[in-house]
Amino acid sequence: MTSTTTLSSVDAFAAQVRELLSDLPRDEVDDLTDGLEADLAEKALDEELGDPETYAEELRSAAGLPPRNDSTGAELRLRWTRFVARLRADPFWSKVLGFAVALRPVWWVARGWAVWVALGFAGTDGPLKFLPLAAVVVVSVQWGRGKWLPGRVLRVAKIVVSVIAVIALPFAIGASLGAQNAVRYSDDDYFPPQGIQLDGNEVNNIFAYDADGEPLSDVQLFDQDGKPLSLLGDGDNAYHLSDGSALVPNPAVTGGSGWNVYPLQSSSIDPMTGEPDRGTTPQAVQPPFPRVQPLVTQGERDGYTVTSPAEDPAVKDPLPAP
Amino acid sequence: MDSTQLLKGVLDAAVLAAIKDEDGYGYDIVRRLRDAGLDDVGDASVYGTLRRLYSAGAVSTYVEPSEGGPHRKYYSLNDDGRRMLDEQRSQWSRFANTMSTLLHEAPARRATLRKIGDKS
Repeated sequence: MTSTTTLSSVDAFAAQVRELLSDLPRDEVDDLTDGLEADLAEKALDEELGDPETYAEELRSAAGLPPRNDSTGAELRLRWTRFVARLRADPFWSKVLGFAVALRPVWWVARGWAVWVALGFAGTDGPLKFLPLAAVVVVSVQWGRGKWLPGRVLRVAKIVVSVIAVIALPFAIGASLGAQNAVRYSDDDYFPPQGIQLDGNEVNNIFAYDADGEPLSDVQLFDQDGKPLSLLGDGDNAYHLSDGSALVPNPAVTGGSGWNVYPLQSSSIDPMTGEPDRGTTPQAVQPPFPRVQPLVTQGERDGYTVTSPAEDPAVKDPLPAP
Repeated sequence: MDSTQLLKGVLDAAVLAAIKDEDGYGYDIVRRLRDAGLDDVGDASVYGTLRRLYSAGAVSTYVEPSEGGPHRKYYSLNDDGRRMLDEQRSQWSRFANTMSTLLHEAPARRATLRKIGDKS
């Protein structure tokens, strides 16, 4: 009785012979190789199976069929056949190949789905969009089974569609994963706002006042970790404001990294480039208050009354040193 | 001389003859031919020939499952095939006679031989 090994080598041999005849019409190949496995299995008991190429040529010439048309495509297919034959001969790769062959139906479905996505049906709304999906998957599976492929034109079409599907598949998978993620993570999976925020509002400038309530300029700010409290990154050269001007990093710091020196100064925008005008020096930005109330110091205990700086011009006068 | 070269020309007749009494499947027919003494006959040549005879309408086929294995395709000779076999048998007889004569006799009869040769 034939062993399992012989059976699989018979199947491999028969598959190669069929592949080598694949330039012929499918009906012809079927008629020529129908029952080939049974015959080869018996032959394997008596002698070596030999070389599939010689075998296929002998079959072909005895049947009065033209020799193989060795065009580029046929040559490539022949190389492929030989490559697969070498893989099959190796125990490990033959297992891998067997696994891959078992997964072919998955590919057929994936091909249909990729075509459906590529045609743009996936993006449409309503349950009707699944009708074309069913249609293309059925066609793809039937093609995979060698059905519904009358004539050379459709066989070429199958190859073209397969190539397109292979290219479209990663994008289709990426797009559908992205769509799912967007639904699932729409609340917490977005980029945190850049820059400085106060209660959800953007802070684009900071005005510091000293103990006397007088505005300060050129104050370098850092956070609790020693990180510069920069409005923008080192590479940025302008923070555009709605009035057409732009904030620029402090020019006294080299390399454009003066984004943590407050108050930031403003510069006009060159309408040609959209960049800050290099010809002009940056201007100081008007602070929200000309000055603020001085801090509580020894003076208050002495009876000094703190008033709002806007109301009381007295705060202008510096307090006497304690 | 390589006997496979000789075989090529007569394989049709040999295959037809191998199934004239009993239907056979591919390798079975190969075995019959080898048992008959055509040791060098290639199985693929026989299958190809069977296919061609089938296309020519000389043989019919039917499929039967084999015990515990893949199915087998059986070939049987039909009426057209029998006529073809008869024809080839007489052709072969003439040809064989001619060859025997050619190989064994004196060159004096060349003229006759050429005439037969032209015909075949």
